Amino acid sequence: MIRFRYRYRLRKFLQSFHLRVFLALVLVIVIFIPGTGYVGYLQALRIAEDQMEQYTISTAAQISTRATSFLAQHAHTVQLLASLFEKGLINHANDDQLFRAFHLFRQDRPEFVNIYYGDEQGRFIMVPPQRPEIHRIFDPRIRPWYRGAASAAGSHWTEVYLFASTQKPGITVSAPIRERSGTLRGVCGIDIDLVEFSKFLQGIDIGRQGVAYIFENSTGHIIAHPWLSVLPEETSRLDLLRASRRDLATRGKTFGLTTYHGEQYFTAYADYPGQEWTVGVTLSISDYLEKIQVIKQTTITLIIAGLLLSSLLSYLLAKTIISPLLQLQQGIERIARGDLTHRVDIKDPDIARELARSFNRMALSLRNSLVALKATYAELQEKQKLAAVGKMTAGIAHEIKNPLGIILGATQVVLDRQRPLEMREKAASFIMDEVVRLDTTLKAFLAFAKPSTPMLTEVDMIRLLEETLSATEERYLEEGYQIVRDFPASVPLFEADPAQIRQVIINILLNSFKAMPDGGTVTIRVRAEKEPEMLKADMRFISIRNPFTVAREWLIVAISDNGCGITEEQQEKIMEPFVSFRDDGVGLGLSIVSQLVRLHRGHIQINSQPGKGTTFILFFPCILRE
Amino acid sequence: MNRNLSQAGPFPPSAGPIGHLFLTLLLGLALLVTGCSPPPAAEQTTGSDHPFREIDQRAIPELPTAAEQLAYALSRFTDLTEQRAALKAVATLHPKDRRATGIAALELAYLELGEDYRLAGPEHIERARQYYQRILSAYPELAEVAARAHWYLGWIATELEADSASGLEHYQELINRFPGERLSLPEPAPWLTIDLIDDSDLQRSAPPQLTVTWADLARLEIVRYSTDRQLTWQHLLTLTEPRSMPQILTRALTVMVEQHGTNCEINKRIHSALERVDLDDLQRSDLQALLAIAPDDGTQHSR
Repeated sequence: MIRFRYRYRLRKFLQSFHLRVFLALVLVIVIFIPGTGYVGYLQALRIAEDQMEQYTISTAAQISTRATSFLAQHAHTVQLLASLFEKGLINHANDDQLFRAFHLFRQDRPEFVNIYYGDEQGRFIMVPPQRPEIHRIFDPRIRPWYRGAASAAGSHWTEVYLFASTQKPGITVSAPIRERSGTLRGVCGIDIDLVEFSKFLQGIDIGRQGVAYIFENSTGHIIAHPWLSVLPEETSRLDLLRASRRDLATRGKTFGLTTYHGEQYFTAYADYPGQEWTVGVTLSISDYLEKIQVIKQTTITLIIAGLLLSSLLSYLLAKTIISPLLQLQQGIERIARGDLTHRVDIKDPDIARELARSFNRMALSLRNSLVALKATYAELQEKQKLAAVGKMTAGIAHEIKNPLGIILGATQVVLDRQRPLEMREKAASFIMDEVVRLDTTLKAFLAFAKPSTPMLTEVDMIRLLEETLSATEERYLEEGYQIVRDFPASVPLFEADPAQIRQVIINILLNSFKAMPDGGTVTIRVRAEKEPEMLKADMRFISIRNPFTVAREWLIVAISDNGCGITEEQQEKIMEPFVSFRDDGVGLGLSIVSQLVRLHRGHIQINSQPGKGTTFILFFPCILRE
Repeated sequence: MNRNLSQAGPFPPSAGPIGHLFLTLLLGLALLVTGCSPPPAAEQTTGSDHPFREIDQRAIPELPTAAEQLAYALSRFTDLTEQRAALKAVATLHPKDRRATGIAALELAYLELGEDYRLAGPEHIERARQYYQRILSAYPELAEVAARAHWYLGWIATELEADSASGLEHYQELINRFPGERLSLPEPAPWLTIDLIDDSDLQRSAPPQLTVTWADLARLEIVRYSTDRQLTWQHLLTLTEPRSMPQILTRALTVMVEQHGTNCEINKRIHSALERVDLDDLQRSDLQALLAIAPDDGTQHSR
């Protein structure tokens, strides 16, 4: 039972207009607010990526420019050195002069690892000097810097290689020294330390995880990177640069995103002018993602706050929209229960207020109509009473007039001493019979005219029927009547006066028996219905239906006979007092039945077909008990 | 607002579903807020977490292996004092690695000569010599160290102190004790090495070695400085054997001719050398240039 109640409430809640309005508003909000936030977030992300791309590319270009400037100084220096040799300002045959000149050139130039001179005879002089064991077997003419310069018109840059003395990466810029005739005399060169070269990359602020670097296109050597001069553990980070280069080379791009160890890096490459080098800038997007993350977090927080606030507002708004309807619903229910004084108090403007006003006008109109109806009803009742009194008076006059006529005639006979005694005794007997008949008529009239107030109590109809039938059934059986019971196991209780209901049953049974003078079968059916079809159907009610009676469940007692039946014309009048279609009837039995049923807020319906039988159907409102 | 409404309508009086709805939204908010917490701070990628040891008032990083400590010390320093401290740190921090400490000692000895040995004063030369002597005593069994120390002692004597006799003794002892010990280049520091896209022989774990031996270099010095004709010729023959390297062969014959003049025997050796197919153009040109020098009467020339 409890489960049923909860399921009923849940179903009612799910089907409620309030919930639908609320969900509609929430759905609209859920779609719009996150949608707007997400679009904003995507735009911010796109802008940030564009800015990062521009920043990265411009940074690579700036580095390229600065590196070019850095290396150009050394090219100028070595060319200056070569021209000093060629013009005889440095005597290449004088070792001391060479030492001094070279030391002078190296002064305040930490990036100059070595300055040297080699000639066509294999002589080689360097500052600082080579290790003596290397110097003993060193042949400058086979070195790339010498060969490159020998075949070049101006300065020559080598590829990156490891310096034999220190095993450090470096590049050499060299320039040929020629005789006036153009014959190669020798080559001078300067070794550039890439560690020193890389140091200037460290000074470039490109984010905490950003790195600028330079690599050779032909060999892939990363010839300069900011970690070149720091300690070992940073070396593994070169894998990032390698992965970025491989990834972009595979895709044939000069900039783009690369995923490395679960993190994304943006890399942009710029050509290095004058060399087969490329300047690369690799940035961890986490640097700028932190800013994006802040935007994202703010957006999500605003969305959530907006959703919460909007949900709350939606709930309140839905409630505001629904509240007048709920008030109207309550008002309708109150009106339906008969409380026509109830008014709906809605102060909201617009349609709801107008609706409430209309409702209140309707309620007032209903109340006025009801008052008028009651007055009309009372008046009708009064008229009916007067009509009934008239009818009764006529009936009584008719019922009394005949006995009185008989009594008058019989009395004259009795008082006439000249009449024989036997005749006078017979006349006296007539007088007595008619007086008894008058008494019976008056009793019936009194029962109809002034019925006793019902003493209401909870009555079990089945039990009441059994008690009633048990007292009379034996006698009826002897007279040839059979009573068939069609009772359910139980029926709801209803409020009634057992004696009056018993009288109703007996009167209908007597009516049925009289319709079957040669005996027959009377069937009594009992059932309970919540909304009997007979009440809703457009069927004729013999009794006046009480318009103020509302019941959720009705007890229905149907008493059927297979007697002579009643014509439609007779059905119209059969409930009226003193209307009888038999000679021996007073015409008050069914009138009393109708009156008592009405006193119990019930109805009577008669279904009858002449020659086939009649069914009296009694409707009593039930007391619902759980 | 009608008070009756709070208990009417489809919503139960306790507003259970609404309460659950708000509770769910609040829970979702909490989850999202915690889920959207700022990312962890990016890892610092510069700088080092190595501990430092103060040596000679210089902070030297303590590296996990002796090889790394040595490689760090061999990095070029603009400040010689700092480089000395870094070399001392090898023995201080990794005393059990005799090869590393020996090589560090050799480098310290060489640093005694200053940045340019041609400008070194007598006291620097003497300190360097003494240093090499101590290394010889300390690492007699370590051929890589002892051979180099011997050669440097000979070189200091002959080249810087003009003491050929003493120098030749060291060279001879080197030839006798370490006839096959090859020169080795310093091991490149892994973090200073250029990185390649693909694997390369520039990325080496073992120290690079040359095919030239310390004994070859000692013989060259003997040929250069010895006045003993028989001894000089003996070592020249060794250096110009068919199995000797073209580079050494060419250099030996050049030194011989430059230092002692030429003769028929030497020319024969040069002709014999020119028949080798492993000479490059420059070596062949140099040898032919030696042949262009007019031979003497076969006697030795003074330097």
